[in-house]
Amino acid sequence: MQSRWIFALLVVGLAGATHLLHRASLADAAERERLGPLPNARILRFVTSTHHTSAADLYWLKLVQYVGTEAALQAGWPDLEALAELVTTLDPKYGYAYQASGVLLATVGRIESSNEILERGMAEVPDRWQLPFYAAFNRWYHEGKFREAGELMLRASRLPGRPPFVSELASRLYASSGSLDDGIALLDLMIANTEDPLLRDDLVRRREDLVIEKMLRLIEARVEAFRDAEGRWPRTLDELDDPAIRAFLPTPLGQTIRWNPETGEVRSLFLQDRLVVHDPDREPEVSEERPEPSNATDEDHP
Amino acid sequence: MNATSALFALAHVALVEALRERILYGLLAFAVGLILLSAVLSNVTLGWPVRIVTDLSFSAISLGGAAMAILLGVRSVASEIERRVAYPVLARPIARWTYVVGRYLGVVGTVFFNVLLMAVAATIMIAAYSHEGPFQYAVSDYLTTLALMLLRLAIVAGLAVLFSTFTSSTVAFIASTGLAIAGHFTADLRHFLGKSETWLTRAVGELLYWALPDLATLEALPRLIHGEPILGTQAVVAAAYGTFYLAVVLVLACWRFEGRDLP
Repeated sequence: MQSRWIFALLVVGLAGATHLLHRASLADAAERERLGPLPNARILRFVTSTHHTSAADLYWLKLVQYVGTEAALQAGWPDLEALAELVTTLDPKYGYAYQASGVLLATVGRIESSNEILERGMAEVPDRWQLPFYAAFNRWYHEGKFREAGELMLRASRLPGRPPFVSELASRLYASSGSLDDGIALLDLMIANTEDPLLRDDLVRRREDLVIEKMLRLIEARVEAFRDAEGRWPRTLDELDDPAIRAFLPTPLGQTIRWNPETGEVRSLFLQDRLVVHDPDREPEVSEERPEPSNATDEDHP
Repeated sequence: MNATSALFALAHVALVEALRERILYGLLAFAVGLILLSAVLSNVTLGWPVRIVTDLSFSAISLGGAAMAILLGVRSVASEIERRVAYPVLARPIARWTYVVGRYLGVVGTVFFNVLLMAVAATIMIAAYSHEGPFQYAVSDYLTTLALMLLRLAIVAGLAVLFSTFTSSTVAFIASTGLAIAGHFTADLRHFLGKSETWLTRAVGELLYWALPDLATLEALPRLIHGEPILGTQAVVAAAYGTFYLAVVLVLACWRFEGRDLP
């Protein structure tokens, strides 16, 4: 009778300790930016035999959880390429894995890896229009290669299931001026064709960057024109009397615009670094003769 | 009693006996649990959840069905002999092949019944998560995938019954499990051994390929989830291959049991 109680207490004690240790290990895993060793993709593909697509799904779920880990996100997902490689080796026809991995890698600035996985996806799943579409976006947005972007967009426009406006985009990119309107239009399409909240949020952020950049360039051009005409900086942005600027300023993005009437500097609290589209064949859209920034305090517009 | 009615009577008895096995319900619960888990997992993915639901549900059915086929198959004859339950039946004017085939049909009937229950659960889940129309896949492709899976399980059950006719349940379990696993790698085995420069190794590769079941040929799930057409010449040839292989296994089982001296 006594031994039964001892065993019961032992079981409860060990179970409690196991639970606490498990919880601690889970908490640790949630904070980790690295995944630790992953299995060899080719061996796992062989071992899982006809169930290789299920194995790919399980590692895909691991990839999704990894992408959502705060520490990994802060570190720029250092193991994302390895996980994407594992998933796509297990199931080389997993079109969405190429697409999402390519987009995510691009968001953390690893354009070469992004292009590589999208290229591999295009070879394995040639009918998936989203792959050349996102590869085109990389070429245009991150690398400023308009011609290559146009070629890829044209390739996307020939694939089944693509939206009807992709072909129009292809021609726009071919004859691209590299204008921000092209980028906003492209992002609008990408947002409309992205189902996943995580990816869509990222695309929306990129679009907001472009909208602000476009407005900053417009304001700068109007300010220059105002100074040429009046011989001074405008005191408020309302003084520019531009309907587009006036309509934009009350919007949430417009509220982030700051104008300094002493230095002639205009900036956005939202956009820390100005966007530059690399297009060596074109004249810059904005005059490079900007006044040197001073230590003057920014004033809220108007 | 003629051979046909004896066959169906034996199959009926084997089916009723198998349905009383508690382990069967454990496996059924395990597979249905995995199908439900696939729905939970699909909610934490990016992209289309229907792929996760289909993939994991079919894998659960396949694994659960194979476990049932092996566990019931190895006990179908060997256990009856070990418990001496088979003797009164075999003392009657019933051919031994009738006994083996009858037991086999009972096992396969039980496995198919359970697989269909799991398939109903999986189909409901897939329909619930479909994003292209009321059902994600072409019905003909979906049913072909299920049919090929049933044929695969029938072969696994046949192998289990074959071993069950001349060894103990334990040995039959180990041998049929090994063959069921090896059956997924026969094409790879042939491929690797076929690269050898020695003709003997290549010949062994060929021999193993034709002797062992090529169960991977009967798997259409990857093509189903990738939206590739399944119902075609390839599926018909694969089904014909599976049917002939199964026939050979059953003839071997009957032949072995005919020649066996029962104590």
